[in-house]
Amino acid sequence: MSDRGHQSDLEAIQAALKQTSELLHGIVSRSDIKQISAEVLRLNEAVRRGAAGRIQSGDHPQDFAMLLLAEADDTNRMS
Amino acid sequence: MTQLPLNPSSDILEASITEVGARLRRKELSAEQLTRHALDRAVKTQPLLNAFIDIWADSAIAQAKQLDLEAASGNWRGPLHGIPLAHKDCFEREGLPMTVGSKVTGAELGRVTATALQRLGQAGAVDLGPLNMNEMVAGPTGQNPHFGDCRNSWDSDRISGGSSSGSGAAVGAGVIYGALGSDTGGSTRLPASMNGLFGMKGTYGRVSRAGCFPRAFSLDCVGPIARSAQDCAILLQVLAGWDSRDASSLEAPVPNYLSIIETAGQASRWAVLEGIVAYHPDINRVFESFIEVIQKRYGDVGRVQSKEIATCYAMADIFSKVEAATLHGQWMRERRDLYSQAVFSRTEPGLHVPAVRYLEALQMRAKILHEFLHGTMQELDVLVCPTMPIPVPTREEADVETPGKVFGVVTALTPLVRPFNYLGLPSLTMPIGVDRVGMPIGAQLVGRPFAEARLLSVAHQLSKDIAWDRLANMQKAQALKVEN
Repeated sequence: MSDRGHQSDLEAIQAALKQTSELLHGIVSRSDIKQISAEVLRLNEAVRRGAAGRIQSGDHPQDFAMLLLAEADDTNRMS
Repeated sequence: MTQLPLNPSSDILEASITEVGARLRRKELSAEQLTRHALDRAVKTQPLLNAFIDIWADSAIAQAKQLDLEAASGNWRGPLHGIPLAHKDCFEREGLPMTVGSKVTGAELGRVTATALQRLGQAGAVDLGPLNMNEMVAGPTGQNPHFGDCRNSWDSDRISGGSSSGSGAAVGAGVIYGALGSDTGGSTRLPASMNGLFGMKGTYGRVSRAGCFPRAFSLDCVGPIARSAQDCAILLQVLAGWDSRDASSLEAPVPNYLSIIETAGQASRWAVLEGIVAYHPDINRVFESFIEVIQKRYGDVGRVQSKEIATCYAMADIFSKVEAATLHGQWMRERRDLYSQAVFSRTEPGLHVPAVRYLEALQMRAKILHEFLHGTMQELDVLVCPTMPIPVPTREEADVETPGKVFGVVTALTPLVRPFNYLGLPSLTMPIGVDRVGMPIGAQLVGRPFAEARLLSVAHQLSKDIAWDRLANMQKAQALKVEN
């Protein structure tokens, strides 16, 4: 993407987030919308990249708690 | 700035919980005497540290008198009988105010006493009152524009760490023997580290969160801050275990942490977790010396990197922001100006993160944990890294109310702690040395799920190996400050 294209994307996101805040949530921002946009884009990209190839049809959030129990350290059964 | 008058090492407030408990049982002192002494110390240190939101002297003395009556008739409640503690003001006490360090929630009274507080009370602890904290359990600095900043017990010009700021400062100053913290992205470990203490974030679900005000229910862990691994073990013993009031509580055995503290860590297999972020030279120097100590006791310490850690940080960040925005939405709409700039700004992005991203972070959590345990931690029991990559900042350096500064400060302080909230793994910070101005440096020990006994054990042994002496190091830090 060209710098100009990237810049216009950022501006579009900033405008959208400002509207989203007020129209969808009824909350008036108290922050620099550039910072908020940068933070949202950073988080979105990091998680999207992390999820790539990992999401499968059988996954369930509760798997996490089950795995913690299943992988418990041996010392937790010491007496 | 005036320096904190330190307790003499012979002061009963500097003794271990085990030692004080024994003296109470031998009737060498009463719970009331001990509580009055702790209250005196709380009042004396409050103008400098601002560790307490409120000191409930009458209530604490009444509790202590009741405990003395019970003891006189041979009824000892448990291992904390007569031990003065105090707790971050995010735990509900039935019929009593809870500020959460905020003006937003107003004077709402607690509905049902938090399970953690109930268990401490049943074990005989005396509660001196609510401790200072970052607004809405959000922030790693101890800065609070509503109740005043909490200051570091080693150097009041430096941050206490947060969000369990009063817990770190009051335990560090020798006011109380331990305190509860809550940890969403380092909020127990950071103030423990910055005040030269031990702080435990247990496995997710190990300690009940019922009645503890949340930042993010997917991440929050309640845990103790204390001056030694043994004291942490005693507190965790009382706190750990399944609770029907907490849907995220996990039903796993609770070992006797104190009785196995000499043995549970034997033959642990170690590695340094590196490659996350660069460390300040002082951190690097002290940490590498600590690795040599680990090697002497436990043998070879390898070096590993994890490609999942950066992802875990982002996932935890998403949980924290989205879940907080969900909880705070109505208040942000109706009581907008009652928030600090930092907390409002940190919560706003949560309004905008796509729901799909949040659910991805939730749905792949088990998969990433599995990859971490069977990849990075394969054939390892303990990972070690510094708790913070930088020395304890001054209050000016870490002023998150300066517009535009909050995201940078949080990122600088939390890169090594937050990922383990996403992974749900137990993490214990312990003091390992001091930087060039004498401030404490902490190491974070990370275990496999429910490895709290192992972590407490290795921290206990290593603390003896390095001959950690909190008071002596605090004295040196104060002397260095006078010289400079």
